[in-house]
Amino acid sequence: MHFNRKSVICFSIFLFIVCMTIPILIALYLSWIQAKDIEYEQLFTTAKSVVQRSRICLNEIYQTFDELETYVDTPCTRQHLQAIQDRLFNNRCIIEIEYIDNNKIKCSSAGKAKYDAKLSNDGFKMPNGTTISFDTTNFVKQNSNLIRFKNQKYAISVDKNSLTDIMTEPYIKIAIVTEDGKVISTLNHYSPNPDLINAVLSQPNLKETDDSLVAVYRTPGLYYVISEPLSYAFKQWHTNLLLFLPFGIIMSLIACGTVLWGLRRRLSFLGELKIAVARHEFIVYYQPIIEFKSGVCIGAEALVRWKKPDGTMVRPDLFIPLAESSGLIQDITDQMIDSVVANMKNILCTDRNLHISINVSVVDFNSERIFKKLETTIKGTGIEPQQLWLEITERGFIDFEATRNSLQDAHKVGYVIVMDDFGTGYSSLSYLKELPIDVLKIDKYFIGSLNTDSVTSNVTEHIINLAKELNLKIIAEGVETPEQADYLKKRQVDFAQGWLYSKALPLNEFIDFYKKSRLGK
Amino acid sequence: MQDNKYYILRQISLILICLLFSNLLLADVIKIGIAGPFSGTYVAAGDQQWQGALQAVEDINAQGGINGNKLMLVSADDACNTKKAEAIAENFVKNNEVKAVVGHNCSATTVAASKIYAAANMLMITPASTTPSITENGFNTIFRTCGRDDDQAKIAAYFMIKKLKAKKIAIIYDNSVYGKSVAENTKIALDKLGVKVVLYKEITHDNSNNSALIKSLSDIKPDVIYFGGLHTDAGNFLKYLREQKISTTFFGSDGIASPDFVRYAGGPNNVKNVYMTFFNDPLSISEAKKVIAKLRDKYITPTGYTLNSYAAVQAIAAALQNAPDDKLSEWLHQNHVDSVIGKLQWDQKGDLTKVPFIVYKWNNEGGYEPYWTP
Repeated sequence: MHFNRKSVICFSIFLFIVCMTIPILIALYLSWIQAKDIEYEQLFTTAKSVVQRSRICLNEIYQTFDELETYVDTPCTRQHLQAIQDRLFNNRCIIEIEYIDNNKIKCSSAGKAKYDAKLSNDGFKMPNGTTISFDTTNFVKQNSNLIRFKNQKYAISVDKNSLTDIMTEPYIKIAIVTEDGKVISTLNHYSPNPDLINAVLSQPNLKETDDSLVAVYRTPGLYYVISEPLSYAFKQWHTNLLLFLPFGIIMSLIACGTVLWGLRRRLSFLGELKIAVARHEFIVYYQPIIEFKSGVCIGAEALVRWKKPDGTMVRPDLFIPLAESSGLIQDITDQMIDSVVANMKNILCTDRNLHISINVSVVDFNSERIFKKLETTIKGTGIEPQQLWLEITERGFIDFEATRNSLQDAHKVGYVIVMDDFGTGYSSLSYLKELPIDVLKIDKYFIGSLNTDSVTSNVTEHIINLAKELNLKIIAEGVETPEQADYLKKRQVDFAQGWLYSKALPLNEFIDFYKKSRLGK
Repeated sequence: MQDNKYYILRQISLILICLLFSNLLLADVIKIGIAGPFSGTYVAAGDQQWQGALQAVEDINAQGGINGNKLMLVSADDACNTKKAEAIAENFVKNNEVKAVVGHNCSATTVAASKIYAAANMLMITPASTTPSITENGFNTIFRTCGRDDDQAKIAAYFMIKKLKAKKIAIIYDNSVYGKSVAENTKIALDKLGVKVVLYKEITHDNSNNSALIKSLSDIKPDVIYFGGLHTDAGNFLKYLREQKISTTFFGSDGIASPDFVRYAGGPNNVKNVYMTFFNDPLSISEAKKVIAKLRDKYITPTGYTLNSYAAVQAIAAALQNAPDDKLSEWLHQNHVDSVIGKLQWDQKGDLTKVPFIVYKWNNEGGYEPYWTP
């Protein structure tokens, strides 16, 4: 996956939007889920309290039935009525007790009844056989708030509301519904929504409708339906958002920051260079070096090229200064050494006169690092140290002592030391004397000025003479015309490199060039 | 946007409901009786039984029921009353539609009702009654998905002697069939292990005659008080003990495995460090995890015998699936059932071949945790 600049920017904008929205969406979602959890917890807790509450009443009723069942004397006597009154007095849910026979009221705790009127048999039968009747006609107390529990011998009236009489928030709506859909008791409902009741009966695990959250608790025969408007869940949601949203915003800021950072890293030249180092995007080109005397290729200068994934080449003068200032040059040099050794191992071992010269950066030759790297890399390959020429430049002589020491070490091992770009900096003749230099490379600037009228033209001759004087070999760099070659040859310059002979070549082409040059000999 | 979302949801649920009803119209309903204390003092035990069975029916129906026919629970409330239980059993037997019964719950009602079911060749599986005599009558149609008192008595006796190093053990029991059965079996088990019971006494519901008992307890100073009985009396008695500053180690049976025990005992502080024998921890059974999650979604904690009840419905469903209606019991005797509490297999009596009772310890939050596995 390699992108050009434009697609990187497009992709980043997309990523930016994603990073901005996703954490906030997650925060919104999680706080909504948690809000619902809190509300459900409350609804189901309420459901359990209603179950407890209603059971207190139901137990009073059932116990009263059981106790009255044991009364076996003649019914409707004073003693019987007294027994009934006692139950009424001792049980708080019970409003009225009637003795019935053959479905007709015979006597009641509340005085006269429409005696001998037939009671309705309709109603809902509870699991213990008691019938809950909603037909209030023919009972003594006429009150729409009453429901009747009935068995064969007695009917007990209770206040509907007492079954759901608990403390709760006013917006929590409670309904106790029989399995066949009859509402027994409610709290905070004006009248329960029949749609909700039907929905619960068909889906007992219903937890949410269009407009409310629902908790259903089932006991044998009964549904306890607790609901609250969704708006209260939204309220809770908003409360939660105060906690979750800042967190989401922080997360999205962090994510966006990361994208920005990555984008900058990716789009800045240094960033690209770092990535290039990580991806080993550097390859080595070889510029042949010719011996004037024989006209044969006796070596090459290894030059680094940055080949981008899209195939374009970046010139070294564009990235080497940045690489040097950022310290990436060390990695690049290492990669180059690896490549050179791998590429040239065979050919260097067959021709001991061949050499490769490698540019050692300013940063490196102040320390011994590069020499250690070289040592470990060529170890066991068969390459002789004198086949590797190390080119240094005077621009880097910051710590002269250290440089001298490490160069002397390298020289002892056998590496050939080349002074590059001589004359372009603050050239000091003392360098040439004190450093173990074998070869002097004349910069292409001086070569270019040969055969012109400029002052430098004369300087070149002096440099050549100087080198001769110091017994150094000389390479002329940037030789472009036969005239320049002739001039240099006349002055017994040893080697030359430049477009006159060949430009820097990729590996295969260099090897071809080298072989042809040998044959030409 | 939101309206739109709900509109689609409503459409989908409408279609689902229509499908459900059309399915119901085509398919028959298979009725299973469920009988237990759904009102009265022991309603907490009934709740466990009902919630477990309800969840099982829901899950089985969601997977297509029995050959396309949906299961339906017919609930009957015996309030732990033997007379009512007998009436219910007569009713279920007469009612040709009820194929099998999950119940009863209290040992007394199960003993009473089982005779009627057995005579009518009707399958009955109790998820909670542990009295040994239930399966000692040679009935072919009576099963349980819980253990037996003599099994838990052996474990309790061993644990008290070997692990608690008890030398003097007092056994107190309530006047329920269950309580007496647990107490007696524990006494036998202790005798076998050579430890004599220093006190063996029944208590009353209202703690009225208990002052004499408290006096003898403080005279004898037993190492452990073993209580045979249900959570109500056990809780009351424990509360009374602690009020009388008697802090002797308290050991209960499976009958106290209910949150109501904490309520009756007067709070988590009193039940702390109480030991109890109870069925294998359902949380340790991988099959149970899904079911537990479903119950949790309804804010129901599957305490006590909830999952045994679930398993009882599964056993009935498996039999209905594989055998004709009059051969359900035979099928269960000959086959095993993969249930929520593990693989179940019954012997000729109707007892589980493997009864994993373990010892639990109550914590100071009103819950209990596995403590020792034999």
